[in-house]
Amino acid sequence: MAFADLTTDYKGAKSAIFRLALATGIRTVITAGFYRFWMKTRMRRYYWSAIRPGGMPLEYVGRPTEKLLGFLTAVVFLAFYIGIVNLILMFFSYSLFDGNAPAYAVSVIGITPLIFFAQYRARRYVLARTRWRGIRFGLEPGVAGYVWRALLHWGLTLVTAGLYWPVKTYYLEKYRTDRTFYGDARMHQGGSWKMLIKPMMHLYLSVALLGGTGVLLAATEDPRYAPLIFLAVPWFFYGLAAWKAGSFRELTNTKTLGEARLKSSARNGRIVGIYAGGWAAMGGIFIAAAIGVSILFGIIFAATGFAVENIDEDGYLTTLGNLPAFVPILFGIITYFAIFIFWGVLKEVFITLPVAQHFAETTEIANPQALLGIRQRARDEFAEAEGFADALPLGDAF
Amino acid sequence: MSDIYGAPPPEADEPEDTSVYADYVDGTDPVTHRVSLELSRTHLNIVMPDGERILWPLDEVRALKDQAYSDGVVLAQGFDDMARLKVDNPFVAKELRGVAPRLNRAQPVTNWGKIVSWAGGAAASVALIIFVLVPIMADQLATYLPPEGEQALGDATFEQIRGALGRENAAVRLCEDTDGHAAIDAMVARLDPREDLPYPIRIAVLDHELVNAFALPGGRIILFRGLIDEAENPEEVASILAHEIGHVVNRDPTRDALRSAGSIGVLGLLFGDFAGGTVVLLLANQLINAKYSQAAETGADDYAHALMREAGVDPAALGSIFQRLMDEHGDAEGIAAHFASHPQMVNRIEAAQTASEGGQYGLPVITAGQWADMQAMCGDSHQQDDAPEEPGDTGGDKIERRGGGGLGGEN
Repeated sequence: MAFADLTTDYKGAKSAIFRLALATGIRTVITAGFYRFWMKTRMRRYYWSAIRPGGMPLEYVGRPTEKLLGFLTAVVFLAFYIGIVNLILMFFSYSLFDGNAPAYAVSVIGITPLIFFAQYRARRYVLARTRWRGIRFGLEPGVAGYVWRALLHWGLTLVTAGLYWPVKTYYLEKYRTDRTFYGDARMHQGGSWKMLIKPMMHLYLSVALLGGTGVLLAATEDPRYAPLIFLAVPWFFYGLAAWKAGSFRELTNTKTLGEARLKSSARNGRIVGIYAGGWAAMGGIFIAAAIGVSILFGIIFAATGFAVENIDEDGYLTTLGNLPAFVPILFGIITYFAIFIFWGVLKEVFITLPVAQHFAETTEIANPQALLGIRQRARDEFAEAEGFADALPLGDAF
Repeated sequence: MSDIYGAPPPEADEPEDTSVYADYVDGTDPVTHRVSLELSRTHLNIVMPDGERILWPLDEVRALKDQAYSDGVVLAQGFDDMARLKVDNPFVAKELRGVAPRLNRAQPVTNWGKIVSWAGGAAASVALIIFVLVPIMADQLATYLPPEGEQALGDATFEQIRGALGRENAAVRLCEDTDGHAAIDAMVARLDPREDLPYPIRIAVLDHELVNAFALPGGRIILFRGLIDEAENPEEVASILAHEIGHVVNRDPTRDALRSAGSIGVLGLLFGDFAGGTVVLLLANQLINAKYSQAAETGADDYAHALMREAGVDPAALGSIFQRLMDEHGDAEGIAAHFASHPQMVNRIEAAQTASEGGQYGLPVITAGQWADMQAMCGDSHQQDDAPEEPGDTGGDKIERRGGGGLGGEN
């Protein structure tokens, strides 16, 4: 009996993610960052549950307190490393080179292996806390192999000025995928790095055009070549979106789980559209908000008698109505955090959610009957959770 | 349901199929079972396709939280069971919310003890590093840093500070008047700290109204115009200068810079890479450095007293300028004192007076003419600009100060 391919439903909604991201973002700021373990957990629960392959939602079962515990564990180790190592590096940098630039450089090199370590461990934690149809995912231990491979591939990428990027992407993804399990079944990354060249082509060509234009302008000093830059820059951004869609599509199409197979029909145009529309919407909202706040202030100042004459030659505000000094300071702090929170929230609403939606809805599982023989895997306790990734500045990648 | 006459409501459809369906997974394999649900007074009955019944006690049933599809519900029994029941029917989901009393409970945290002890461990290790290890290493390393390295560090910091104090992208102006600098050089020559110094000191005067002065790594000393305006006589400026030279001799600025290089990184680790952390980070670092500096300030005061006595300049001048500052701005005590990087001024004023006792003090530190040059080195325009900002009596104060300077010259 042939089963139909399992398509993926997406149930996420912009309004719901807006409320959740705003509520958790505010709490994170109020608690000086400590709510972030709860925020991450709740956001992941939402994003996971929105993705429903074959109608059954993914479940994220990670807990905030295990993230907090993992973070505390990581702090004990990292505090020593970062505190002492930074100090020694700064000392040597000033005693040998009379400047602190070398210290930053060495500091970055010193922390790079730790970042790859944290990435792999964080992925292991997230997969171990993800379930679908009641069955756990998992990632086999293998962080040492990942760290040296990542160092090697990233090194080659730097040396080749980015030409090597698709090869690096393929091999690191293969290392992770080949150690990924669904229940007791191992995933496999097929294909080869060559399939990622085509998705990269727009980036290669636009960067080449940008570089070529720069050389031409410098060599000939002829301003007629300048408009080429206005062609190369948008092309580069198109290339970024095309790479995101194309590399996801190629890598997903060559992933297998036993006899079952993943299929993706993610479209470059859709991803480009999401980014273009998303950034435009965010920019529009911020400009509108700025205009609204200015008008409000105009009214307040008019009412309280604040005027431009009250600014003396040094630029000091001598009176601000009759407000005490802390009011403008407080207002400044609130504005800063409001911008910071809203930017993050709008990014979830206009970028992260639509991108996740498109990738989810265009992904199918072919030959799903092969899944039926899979059995549950044991729980991966993994007490450190994603503590190292939390403590190091890795951004908020899932 | 029935109306008051006991008849069934007219709109109610005749039950063709009262069964409610849901998707069930048992947590051992990825097979979804289409099950029907029945509700008893105490249990949710899950009827498998083969007729087997699974009973979930209603007070054990919970709904997964923060789910994307809020019209439906995904249920579990307790927190350890792997089985899941997906109910996509909004009416059934709503009814279940009515009958399951603890549907929305949060998972109890059972390992608070462990979390608290790790939190203690993390706090202890961070405290050990910030308050013990980093200061010890900074103290040691500061003495080994070659003078050229210290000067590079100081130059980098100096430009940052000038930029930060300036407005609208213009750094604060330096007062570079030749006569004024000659007066400062004469003051330094009189104090004569050369034999204590690893490198010559370089003094800059910033055109800024703050009443302040500080030392940077590599022998840079920064005086603010506001301080020269505030001083009643050149001895007071000399006393502050001697205090800053004390910092340079003790290499305090270099220690400070190395310390914050170590501790800022560790604190950044604690608060994560999010913007709310930045403010906390700066406050915390300020607190640590303020506390650290108190010993350093006393050390610099002691050095200043000794240097001035040797040069035949009365150390009481340090007390008199502090006294005036305290009268005008109040002492920093309590919580505020932690954030002000100077120890209680009363103690410092007393210390300066004690140091002054029994000394022989001769000529003024610089001549009246040199003192006038120093006061004018940032140009006169600012004195006039300042006047209207403050109430009238301050203007009178200014004239008195000029007179005070002159009297100092005649002593």
